[in-house]
Amino acid sequence: MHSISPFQILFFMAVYIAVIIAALGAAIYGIGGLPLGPFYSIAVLLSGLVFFFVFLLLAYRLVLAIRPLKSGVLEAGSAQETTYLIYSLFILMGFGSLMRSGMIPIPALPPLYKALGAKIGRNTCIAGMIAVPPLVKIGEDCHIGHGAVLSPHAADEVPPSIQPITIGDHVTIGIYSVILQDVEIGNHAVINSNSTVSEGTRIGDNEIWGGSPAIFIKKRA
Amino acid sequence: MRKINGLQISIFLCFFISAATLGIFGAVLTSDLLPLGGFREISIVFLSILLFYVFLIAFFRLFLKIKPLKTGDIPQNSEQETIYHIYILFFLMGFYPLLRSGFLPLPVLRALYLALGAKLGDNTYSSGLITDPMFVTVGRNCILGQWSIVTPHAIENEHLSHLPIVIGDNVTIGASSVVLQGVTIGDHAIVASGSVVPKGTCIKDNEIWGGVPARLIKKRDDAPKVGG
Repeated sequence: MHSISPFQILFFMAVYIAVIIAALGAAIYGIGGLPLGPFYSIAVLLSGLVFFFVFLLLAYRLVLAIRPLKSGVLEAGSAQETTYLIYSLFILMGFGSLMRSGMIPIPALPPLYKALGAKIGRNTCIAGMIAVPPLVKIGEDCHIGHGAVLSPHAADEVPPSIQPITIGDHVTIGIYSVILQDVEIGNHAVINSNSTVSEGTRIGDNEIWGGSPAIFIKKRA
Repeated sequence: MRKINGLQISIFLCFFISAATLGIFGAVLTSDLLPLGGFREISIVFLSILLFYVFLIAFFRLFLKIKPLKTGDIPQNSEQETIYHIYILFFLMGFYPLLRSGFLPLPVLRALYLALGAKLGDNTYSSGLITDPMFVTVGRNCILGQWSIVTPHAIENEHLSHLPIVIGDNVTIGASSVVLQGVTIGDHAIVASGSVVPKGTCIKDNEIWGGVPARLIKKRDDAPKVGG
């Protein structure tokens, strides 16, 4: 596994603290300026939390616009590794809490993942987790089951790498299934519950796969 | 996956906004009756959330009383599909954030499942997720393990259906296991952790099942007599 260097942590903390200060400012001077009466303190507190995530998202997009996250091997000490580690700090210290909590209503999850850089078609429902949103593309009318994980990073390899995951239209990913890096899934495919689709797997249109590791079961009638 | 249309969303929003309005109204009225001092405003906020859920559950039950959601296939563009879409919006926007959060104490979670229409026997608890409580019956003294999922619905691309799941007494469902639609599980049975019990499987009394897909591993030799 990577270790995050003190310089990378310092850089991220500077951004993080700037975001907190900006959020407090917006909450106190923006929302606090409204005629709230006795609800002043609770309105400032709750809006501050919302502003924090909005500003953190803007900072995240800015960092990734300057230093795009590219797929490939992350050599120790490379610029790509630094980008990836700073990106992970945003997830670890901010957005991961939203993704993992289960408290976000499911219809709000696709907009969140899109804001984090995933490409998601219309009418797609996601009740699982996308570990690295900028590397994931999902088509229209898909259903990603509860607790499923789309994981474009392989942290267990030496050196670690990130590779995209591409999912077509009308695809169903079962409950608790794990899709690993560099997987392509065709239109109308189904992945059964609790399956693990191994690295580099190519799943064709209308195919049903399942198991751990997932194997081809049959074509859909 | 099917599209929820604007009319269905509007009907749901009427329920949602009514519950929110009644919740806030009730919270303000209640807070005025209590000597809360400086805690009045924060009490209003938390009480509003609590009462919002009470009213939302009441509307949910009322809606399903008037327009029952039946088991079986839900054809496209049918009246049952409209009922289902409004039903699922109650969960997506209201109940799933509570049920999926892992934040509620288990006895509260049990009370919530009962309120949503699950039939749970005495001393039965779930620390997982029951996706459609009204189609699930569980007997006495059962444990549905951490992050287990009991799911009477099947969404497979454009196909959509509900079939009941019936679980007997003294059953253990292991952590992270998935029980799919139409499954029946007998008394004293065990489903091992991380298993997937396929659609329509019938697990008999005292059997131990496990794996993906789950299959019979053995009969329990330590099991008490059925009904004992």
